[in-house]
Amino acid sequence: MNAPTAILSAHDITVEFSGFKAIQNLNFTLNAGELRFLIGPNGAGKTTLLDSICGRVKPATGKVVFKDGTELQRLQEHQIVQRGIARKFQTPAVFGSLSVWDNLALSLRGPRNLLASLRSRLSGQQHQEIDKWLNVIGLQEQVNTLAGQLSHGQKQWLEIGMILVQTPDVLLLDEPAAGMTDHETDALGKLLQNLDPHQTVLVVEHDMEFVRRYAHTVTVMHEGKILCEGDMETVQNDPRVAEVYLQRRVEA
Amino acid sequence: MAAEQSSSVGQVAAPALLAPQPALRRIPWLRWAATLLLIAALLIAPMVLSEFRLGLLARFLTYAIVALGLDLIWGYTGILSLGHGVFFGLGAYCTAMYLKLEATAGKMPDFMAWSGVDDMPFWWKPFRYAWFAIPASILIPMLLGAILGYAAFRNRIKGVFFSILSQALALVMVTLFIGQQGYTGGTNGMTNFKTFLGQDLNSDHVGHLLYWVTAVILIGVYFGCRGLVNSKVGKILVAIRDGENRARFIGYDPVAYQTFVYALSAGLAGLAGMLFVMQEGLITPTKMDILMSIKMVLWVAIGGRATLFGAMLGAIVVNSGENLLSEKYPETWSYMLGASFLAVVLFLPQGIVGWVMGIPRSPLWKKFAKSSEATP
Repeated sequence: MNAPTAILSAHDITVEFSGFKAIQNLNFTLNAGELRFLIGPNGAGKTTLLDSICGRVKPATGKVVFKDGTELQRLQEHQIVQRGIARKFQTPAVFGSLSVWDNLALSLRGPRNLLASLRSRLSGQQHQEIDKWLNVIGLQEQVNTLAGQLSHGQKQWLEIGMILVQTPDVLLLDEPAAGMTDHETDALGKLLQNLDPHQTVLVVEHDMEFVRRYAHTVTVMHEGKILCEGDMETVQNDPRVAEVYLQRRVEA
Repeated sequence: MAAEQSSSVGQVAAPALLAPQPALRRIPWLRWAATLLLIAALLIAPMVLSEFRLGLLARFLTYAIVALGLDLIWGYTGILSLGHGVFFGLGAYCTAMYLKLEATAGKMPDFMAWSGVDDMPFWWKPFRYAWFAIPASILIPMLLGAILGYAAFRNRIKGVFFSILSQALALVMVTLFIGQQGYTGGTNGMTNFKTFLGQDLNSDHVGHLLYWVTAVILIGVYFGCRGLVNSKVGKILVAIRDGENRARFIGYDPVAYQTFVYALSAGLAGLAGMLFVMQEGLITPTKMDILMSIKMVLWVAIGGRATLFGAMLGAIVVNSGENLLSEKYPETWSYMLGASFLAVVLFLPQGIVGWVMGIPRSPLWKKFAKSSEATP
């Protein structure tokens, strides 16, 4: 196996919310092309880690480095997206009064500034691109439906489609399988495995069955820190992980 | 969807006005029919209306231009501005300065002398020239809108907070214009204009001409706005309204788009103000105050927010109605007007156009359609 190259790395970041440290001195590296799962009990800081990568929260200390040295914590959210990091939220966020087609057309990779948008027209190639992803996410029949009228599961797929048409380098997915049927979860897992090998995926997930089936490397977070990292078997046999999850079960 | 996106504070304070409008199903032929009908009405109006009525209508058409701009920022982008009177007023004042100087042949206007001003201030001087004053009537409101909008949107001031800020703008401006009587004419504003580019403003001929100019500009602005909302930019505006964060996280900078559309709608209000003051022959601070600004929002709400035709129609219908009522019932008309506003907001939350477009889906209509099918 070739030596992995880091595409994204967090160096010693701390995120505070009015005194509470959601993330403490965390170091984290994502390798180019990998499919990584991020798990951990509620409140471990998984979503906060995604937030600090995509610029939604600014770490109090530390830096987040992308590719060959861009420091993401200095950029605004839309600038980070334009560099090639796309984010899917926990609750599906789509544009309710636009059609499925428009939702995808707005998300297509391309310039995002006002002047370009004023002049923009969809090319034939872009039409094909949208059609291709419509097929993948299974919403061909809903193409003219307003996104607000879709079911929860369909909104999930639409948002995933909106991420995919951007052809980002890094996909940050926060619980993408929530609200999906087993069949759909399967389809999603296969989709993630079969993405372009250059694309890197970081998935926050609670569905352990899903993680078990599709994860190569799993990172476990607990109380704002990385607890351990490794393949599923290593992680499962780690006594600290068992303790964290067991503790939760006892509390519940 | 709506609940996720808007701030909880905004929801508590003004649920109906700040919540995104539910998407209406578009009925293309209806829109074209309505547009053609309106154009036909504008063509016929000069033949059937008296000079006086035609003059009133022309002024309402300028209001319709304001309403179109306001609908872009409020209906499509979800930002409620309660200070659009300011932009209308600024446009009107810029043109009024020119008209005043044309009337005095470039000498210091009389109201300045009355207020103890000895020399015409330097910033009045360029308004001697139409080539400066006319573009300034549009560009100065746009510039103010761009600066204010950028500052507010950059700092993510939105929802009810932006509305309050825009209202404060109206308050500040009115206070300023009243306080600086020597330069603005104070409460009395500016009047006694005579000519525009040498043409007598009080003649029937110019009155007619201004009507046509206003009507043509209105229709042009309407089609321009329609082109914009149907373009990619229009979709992005709606996207920002539906989910500002989602828009940000697919790479669009909402600040740029919001500032653009706010400045654009300020420019349209300025354009309207310019056309208005030529016809009214008078501009006072009451045309830019909070009450006027809120009336503008009402026109859009009553006609139908997030439908351009509705905004335009609302401005014309509400003002015509107000005018007719005040003539017929000089004592009680303001109560009747208030009651009808309340009725529209309560019973036609999507305005006149929303109501018309909803008819084919209403139970009564379906029943009617069924029965007419049954009886050949």
